[in-house]
Amino acid sequence: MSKKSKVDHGKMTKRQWTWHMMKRYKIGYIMIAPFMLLFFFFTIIPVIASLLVGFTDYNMLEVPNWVWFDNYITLFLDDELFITALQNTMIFAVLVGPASFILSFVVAWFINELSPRTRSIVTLIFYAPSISGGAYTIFGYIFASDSYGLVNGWLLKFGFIDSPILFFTDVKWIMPLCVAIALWMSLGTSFLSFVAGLQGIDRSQFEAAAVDGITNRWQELWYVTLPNMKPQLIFGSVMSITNSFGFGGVVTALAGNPSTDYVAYTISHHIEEYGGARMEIGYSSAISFILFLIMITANSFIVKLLSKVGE
Amino acid sequence: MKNTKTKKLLALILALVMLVGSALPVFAEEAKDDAGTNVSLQELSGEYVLIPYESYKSKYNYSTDLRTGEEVTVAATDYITDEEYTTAEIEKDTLDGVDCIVTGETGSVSWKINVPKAGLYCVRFVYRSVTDKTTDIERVFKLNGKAPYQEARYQSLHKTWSFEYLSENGEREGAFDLDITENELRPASKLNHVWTEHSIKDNDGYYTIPLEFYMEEGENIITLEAVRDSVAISEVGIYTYEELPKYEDVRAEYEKKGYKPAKADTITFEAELPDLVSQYTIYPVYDRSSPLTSPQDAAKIMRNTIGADKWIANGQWIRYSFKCEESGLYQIGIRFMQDTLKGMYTSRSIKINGEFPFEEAKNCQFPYKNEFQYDYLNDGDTYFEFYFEKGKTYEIELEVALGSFADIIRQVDGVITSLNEDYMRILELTGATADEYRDYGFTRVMPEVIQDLGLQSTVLYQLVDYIEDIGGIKSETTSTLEQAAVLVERMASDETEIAANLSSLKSWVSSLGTWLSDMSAQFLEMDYIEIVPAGTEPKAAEGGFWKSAWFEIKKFAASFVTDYDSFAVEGDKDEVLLQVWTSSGRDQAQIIKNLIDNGFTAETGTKVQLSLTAGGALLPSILADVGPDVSIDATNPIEMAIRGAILPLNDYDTFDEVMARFADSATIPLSLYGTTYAVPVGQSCAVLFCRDDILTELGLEVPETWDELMSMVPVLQFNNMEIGMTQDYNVFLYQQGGNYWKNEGMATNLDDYKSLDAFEYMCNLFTQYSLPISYDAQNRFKTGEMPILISDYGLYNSLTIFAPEIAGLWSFYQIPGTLNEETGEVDHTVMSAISGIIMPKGCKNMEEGWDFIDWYSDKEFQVDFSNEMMALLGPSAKQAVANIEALAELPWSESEYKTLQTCLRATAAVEQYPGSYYIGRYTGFAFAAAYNEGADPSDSLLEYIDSINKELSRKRKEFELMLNEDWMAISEYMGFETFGEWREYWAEERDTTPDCVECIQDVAGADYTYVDWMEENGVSAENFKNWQNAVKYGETELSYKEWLKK
Repeated sequence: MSKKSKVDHGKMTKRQWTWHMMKRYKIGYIMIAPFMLLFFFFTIIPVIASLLVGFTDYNMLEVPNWVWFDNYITLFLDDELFITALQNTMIFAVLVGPASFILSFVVAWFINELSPRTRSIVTLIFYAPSISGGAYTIFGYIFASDSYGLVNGWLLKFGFIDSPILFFTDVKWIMPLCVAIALWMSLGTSFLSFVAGLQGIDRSQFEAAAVDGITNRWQELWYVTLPNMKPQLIFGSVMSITNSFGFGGVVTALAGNPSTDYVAYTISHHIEEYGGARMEIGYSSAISFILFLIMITANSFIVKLLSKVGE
Repeated sequence: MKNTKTKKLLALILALVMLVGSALPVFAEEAKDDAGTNVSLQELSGEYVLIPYESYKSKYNYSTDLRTGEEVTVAATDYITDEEYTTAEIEKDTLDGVDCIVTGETGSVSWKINVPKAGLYCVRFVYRSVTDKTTDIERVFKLNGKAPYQEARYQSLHKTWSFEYLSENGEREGAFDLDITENELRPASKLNHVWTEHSIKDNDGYYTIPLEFYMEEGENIITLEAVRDSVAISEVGIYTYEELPKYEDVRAEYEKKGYKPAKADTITFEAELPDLVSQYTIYPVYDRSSPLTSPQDAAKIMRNTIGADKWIANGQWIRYSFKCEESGLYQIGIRFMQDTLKGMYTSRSIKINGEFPFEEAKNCQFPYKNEFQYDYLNDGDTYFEFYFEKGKTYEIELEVALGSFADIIRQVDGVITSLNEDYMRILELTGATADEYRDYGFTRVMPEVIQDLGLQSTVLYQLVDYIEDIGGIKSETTSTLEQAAVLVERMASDETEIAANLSSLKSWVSSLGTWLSDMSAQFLEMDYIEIVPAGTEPKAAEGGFWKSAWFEIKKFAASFVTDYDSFAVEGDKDEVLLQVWTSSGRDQAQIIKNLIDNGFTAETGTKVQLSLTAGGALLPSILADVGPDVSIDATNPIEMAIRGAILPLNDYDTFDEVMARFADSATIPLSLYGTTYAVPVGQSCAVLFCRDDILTELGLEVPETWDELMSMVPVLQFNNMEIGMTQDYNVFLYQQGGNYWKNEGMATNLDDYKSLDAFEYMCNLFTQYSLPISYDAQNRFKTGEMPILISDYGLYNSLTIFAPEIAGLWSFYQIPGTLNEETGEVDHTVMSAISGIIMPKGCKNMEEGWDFIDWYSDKEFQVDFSNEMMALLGPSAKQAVANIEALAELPWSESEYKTLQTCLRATAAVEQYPGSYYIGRYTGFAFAAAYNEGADPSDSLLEYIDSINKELSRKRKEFELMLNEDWMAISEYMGFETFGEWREYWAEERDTTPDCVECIQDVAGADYTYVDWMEENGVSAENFKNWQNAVKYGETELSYKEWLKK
């Protein structure tokens, strides 16, 4: 330390000070560097690029032209499909987002009461659908339109129907099924973090709370458990929101993109549709940017809401 | 009473049809000579019914006493010239100093044989290949004008292949060429035209001795009828089969002669360096699992073994030759792997210098183990010893044989046939979904079926016992048979079980079929062969745990630095001129590469680098300007073309010549506004698959029109069967002469009454007849639930592999058509899917690129490629080639080819315009609405017309193409009815070609386009609308042109 004390801290400019501190904590920077580099090149740059591409008519193959806000104007004023997509996305987000969040928490809370061994087994059971990425395709078989499909087969056998239901082609069925499957899938990372969060709560706090006059489990939940779990709750909410707004892959896999009459057509489908089928990358970038903004807004709203927990 | 007799007869005939069919894939060929359209299935069933060998034997009271010991040989040149017997064009020739005749790919040739004494004879002939085709020569054998029995009918004649090793004296070191990453490459195969003797035998290998025929004394006529490939024949003869000595007799002989074990060193030779093989598909492969495989390398691919899955079919052989230093007794040791037939062994028959040394040599066994083994040739009991003389060259041949399994497999084959037949009989009564609570009275209605079920279960039980006896263990191999036996027994003993178990019966029959093909595949991978002095014990084949572990570690380490995926490239990288990309599989790419080297590069001198790339890599690469010169598998070329990503091909001087190779429809989806952007490679279309057996039974014929098809629905549904209908509504539209587009893609024509009619017709088929929408085509066709199925003809390939148990019971036809009431003709138009080869933007060697495309799409390459693929992957690799001449050369049977040809002639394709994808989507929506909600089909389709047209206009705007609104104004202004008139007008006015782009597109850089024209004449979509409104509200009565002037 004596060698370094030559540096006069007081006379350093802000920049020099920063540099100095960076050198001091260089191990930390080195350790975070791999992630930061990846994050920068594969997340930050694409986000900025998509913002810029959104102002062009880029089509994958030809040199793009700068079209200013044309894409956004078309998007909001002359694109019925976008409105349908927005509507469906909102339905998914409102139904699936909070529901999956609450469901994750409730299931995690129940599981927390079990003995450690049972707990880990039950956790695995609930978490399994979301680790095995394509697990939802099983519903494609369960609800196959074939008369030998599982559900159709039984319904036919017991005489409820006389010809197979085309579950993923029939407008009446697509949306409810997709919502149900989305919920089944949603016990993912947030659920796991809740389980971990519940484990981390200091048992003595419950005793202290009991002494302080807490009378039932609900009070315990609100005043002790939840405030202790704020970081996990925020993490969970972010995950739920991004998942529910970015919902689409499951629908594509089961009902195709687009689904019949666009009944389960979401913003992420709209992005795929323009970026993939129509090769209008500029336009689809504009849509992605809108989706990005929606997610950010929803997130900050939820984070604010969660800060009220325990008050 | 009479009725049951006819039924019995019918059942018998059917059974025989099935038998014949399953044994002889070419059977259908003659029976249906014309495109299948006018052939009555009822007639078909009675024709060419051949008895099996077993029945033939009992008919002639087969016994070895009937063997006469006589022998007759006739020179092939003395064939019967009478046209009644010989229809082939015959050329007399002298090949390799042997006088012979050469027969082509069609027709038959016959010889007269004077049999000295009535009795049993084998038939032999000496042949030699003459063409360079990679597939086997195929002939049909007839005795006195008719194939005496099924097994004898179809003869496949192997050719003789050798390899070109690069090392001298056949040294292992440096024998194979290396690719740039120093992996050993498959050596070039060379076809050797050699004289070979062939005895008429059972192609499936169910009989281990040559087939015998009963011949009367005097004149007998032997006929060979061409199926595939030309062949030269030098002599034909009959001989008497002589039993081979038993090994113990041979052994006793050794002792009598005082042969002693040789006092010599072991001779070792690598199995991957054979002298000769029987097929192009047998070549050195590699094993990377065992450290002791010789040679072996942790990093590089060494071609160190031979056989494996390429040497499994009956009759395929590999030959080696060697010399011994001392005379004496030797054993033959082989290091091999047999890890596919669990709990069983696979068999090879061994010939020394072209002859079986003893009877047991026909059944050398190679037991199962999931690692390499080393053992001396044996029959499961004793190690064989052979006497080899000093200094003499011996040739040893290992041939795939079924060995002692031949009998078992043959019996299971018989059981499958019988059970299939029983199943169909039961199905007749119950339908596919039998009611298990109903009393069908099977024992009363069909006692013979019940009896037969009992019989078959007994046969299966006996087989299980027998296999367990020889295998010594109960394995999963026998469990299939056993479970099937249990089920069949239950059904036979208790008739109430029949209905409930009907579907399981079908699936067990199917399992038996799979079992059969599994068992017939005689897997064996050989590492090296040793000639070991007799009297020693076999050595160990694997090096133990530590050796393997160390090898695995080395492999793991090597995996970091070795690139296993780089595709073989020959020569210097700088020299490579033409970059060609393909997204097909590695096998395909290897074949293409070989053909390029031997064909294209050899002819033109242009070197080609072929790269395997992922499907999605093409677009980004074009964008980054690192794309290839030619891309072989391009999907959706028009989408790329409209964005200027691929080059037009019309201007090359051989363009018309190249395009003449394909059906007219093939170019349609590859062209846009008169410019072609891709050359067709593959073209497939839907055909009508029919279960001939079921239709025959139900007394139905192959439908000619949709109405006929629909009239079959009640009969089928009465029998609980279904029709697999196409959902491609374009078929109906195009058959009625309708069209998809208005004004060359400016708007959809779906609101036309014809289109609406067609759409409604299709929807009604599904709603009124409740045809299934979604189904597993292969399965339902296989089980017979869906005896009529419309599907792409690629299903043919799947069915040949997936459903061996119904082989020969089905065929395919042209899809039903629509009757044109005015002309009385039936329009069989069918939609086709086309893939093409393209030259992307940024192509650096356009002339060479075009030459490559020319070469690639030509008949020669397409045929070679398809044949090689089949040689490699089996009959399921038949390619759906677009080249019409190439199609004729592929090994389709004559009738199949004719059907395909008629289908291809009737193909149509939908033009691709910007926004095409939207139409299919919305017709799908409309169909869903009609089917799910019972909406009126026309109404629901009309609802979407606006959305479709809006999207089309949007896309057209993007590409600066003329919009429908503009066209409306122009056509009104000029008084044109069709867009063609506008083109003509433009061509005349502007003095350009009729395919002028400027009349449709606002091309950047063009000095005068239709937009300029519109401005000049004051025509615009807006003022046209104003005029329309003015007319509507009665404000003006002037024509548009006059109104504008005002």
